[in-house]
Amino acid sequence: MVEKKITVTNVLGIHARPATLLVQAASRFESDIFLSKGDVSRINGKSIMGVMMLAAEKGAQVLLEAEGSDAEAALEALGELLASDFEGQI
Amino acid sequence: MNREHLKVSGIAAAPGIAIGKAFAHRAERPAVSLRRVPDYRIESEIERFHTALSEVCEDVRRTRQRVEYEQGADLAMIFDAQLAMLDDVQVKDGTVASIRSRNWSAERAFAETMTQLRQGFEQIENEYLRARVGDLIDIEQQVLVQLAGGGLGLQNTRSNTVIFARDLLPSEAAQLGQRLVKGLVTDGGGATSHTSIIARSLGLPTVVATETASRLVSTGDRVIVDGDQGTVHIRPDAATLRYYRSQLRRQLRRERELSLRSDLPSVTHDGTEVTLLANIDLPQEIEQAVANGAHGVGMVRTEFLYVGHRLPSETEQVDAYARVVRAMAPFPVVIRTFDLGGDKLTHAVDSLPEANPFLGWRGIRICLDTPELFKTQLRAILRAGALGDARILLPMISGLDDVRRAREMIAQVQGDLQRQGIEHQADCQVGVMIEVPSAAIISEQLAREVDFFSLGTNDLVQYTLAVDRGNTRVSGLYDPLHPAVLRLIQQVTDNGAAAGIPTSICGEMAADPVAAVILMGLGVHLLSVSPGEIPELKEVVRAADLAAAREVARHSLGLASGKEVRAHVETTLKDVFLAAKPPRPHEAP
Repeated sequence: MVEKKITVTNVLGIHARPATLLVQAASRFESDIFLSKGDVSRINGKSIMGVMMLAAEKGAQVLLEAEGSDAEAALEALGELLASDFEGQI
Repeated sequence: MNREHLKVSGIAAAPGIAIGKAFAHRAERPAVSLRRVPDYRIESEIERFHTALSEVCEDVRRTRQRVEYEQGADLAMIFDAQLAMLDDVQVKDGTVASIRSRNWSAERAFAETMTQLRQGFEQIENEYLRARVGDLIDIEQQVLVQLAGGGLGLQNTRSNTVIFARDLLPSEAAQLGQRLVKGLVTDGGGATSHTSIIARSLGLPTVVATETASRLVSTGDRVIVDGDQGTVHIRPDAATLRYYRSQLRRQLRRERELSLRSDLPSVTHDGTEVTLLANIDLPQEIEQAVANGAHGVGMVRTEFLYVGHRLPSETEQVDAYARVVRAMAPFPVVIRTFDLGGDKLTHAVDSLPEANPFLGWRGIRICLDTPELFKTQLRAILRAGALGDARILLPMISGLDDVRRAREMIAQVQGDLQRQGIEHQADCQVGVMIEVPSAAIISEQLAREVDFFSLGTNDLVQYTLAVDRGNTRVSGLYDPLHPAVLRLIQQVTDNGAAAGIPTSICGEMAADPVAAVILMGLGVHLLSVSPGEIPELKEVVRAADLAAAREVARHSLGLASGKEVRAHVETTLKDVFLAAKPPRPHEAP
């Protein structure tokens, strides 16, 4: 398992659109993806409901974990997406 | 709610009387069943849940496509969130777990899962995210409606039911053929809308264009549908109920009498044979067509064979057509190639919203532009033809070029089948629908390149008179007996006869006794109607005199309006219509 701490930079946080993009991206990997923030721990990164309920706002510290065959690649791609403002992806 | 007897008027769309309990079909959240699922049915319950989810996903995807086209990609993104929610592991796993471990119905398990998620969302402090609760509710509603039967939600009906709706989608109307559904009432629609056509083919007494009926009725109310007069009685008083019960008995007696006469030949009083054919929407209707003495199928409406979201494979089509061809042999079966577009199943092909769908991408135009779709169907028709006599009918032909291009593709498909050594019908006749005025106008040229004409009067009338048959404000102008229409029909039959090819009619007007007599007089000796309408029509044919029919038809061409035509024919040939359909003994209340 690999993990990485990321700070959310998007002005609106991970709202519906970024959450959709994040889940779409996460689902492309075989690995299990988890997100944690404060007292909310290890929600499924491939569940839009989970990611949205994480309610990660701008500036929030999010712990990203990946577990599986392509964990490294997943961590890199998703970490980059989370730290971006998502706009280029839309 | 007013509890008194109400009488509502509309347009009579399918004949007969139905007495039953109302079922008000509204786009509301269906009740969630608390029933317990027995262990042995758990897997099929889970399957039912997954099927409903994927159906809703399909719907959302289509909506997304439409929104993207109309409003742009930004707004369409909203639907990506909905799609992701429908595909969410928590939604799926939570629902499946409750079905499996608690024996809950799919509805209950899903509603419970969604409620929990919604509560989670309502806790979120971020206003933006909290607002997504709206999406959750939307999805929940759609899936529950889908689980309740894809729109109609008829699972829980236990007694004779009359459906009341604002309007029905073709896919919903196709579900009407259920045992306990006895009648249909809609606020919108017209006599020739597709809901009405399906209702007629199912023999379901129907009144449309009532404007208000669905809002005046409550589910469970006793109701009467008079599909002959075009009236609906909600919570009828005792006298009305008595009257209609006796009418219903009379109707059943008449049906029995007619069925005893189904073997009599279809010849006019003065000895000319008029061939009665059946229009078929669903393959299973062929049995009724044969039983009622049809000497062929004048039109199989192939688009109605498939109400799902996907076009059928070649094998599925061969099976469906073969069933009809085999049952009807040695009589011919005319199969109309997909007439998609207009108001029919536009979701089956990737069509875009159009400002004027009836003047747009439909019928043969879609077929010629999507060769894989068209060739698959042509192959299936030719293969089914090996079992009897199948004929190809091309819809929405507006010029010679359409015919030539279609015939070229038919020849290619024939060549392919030949090379592949697949059994098929080599000498398949090809005919065209005459439903666009331009086709009627050039029928002399068309007659040299096709084997038969089929008058599609539903569309011919609306295109000739510029009247949308579904628009209640102008549907009164929709008149198959308009002298302009009759003149076009005469041109077509004359040009066909001169070239030695037959003209049949498959439009709904053939089932109207007055129109049928005029059509015979104009030289149409092949009449195709819904299977259930054949016995009554045969009574008209047997009572009519061809010489007299020619005379009234000739006179009608010079009259001022369809109204005058009808009055003229009804008074001149009173005896024919009395013999064909005895009037009711009393005035309806």
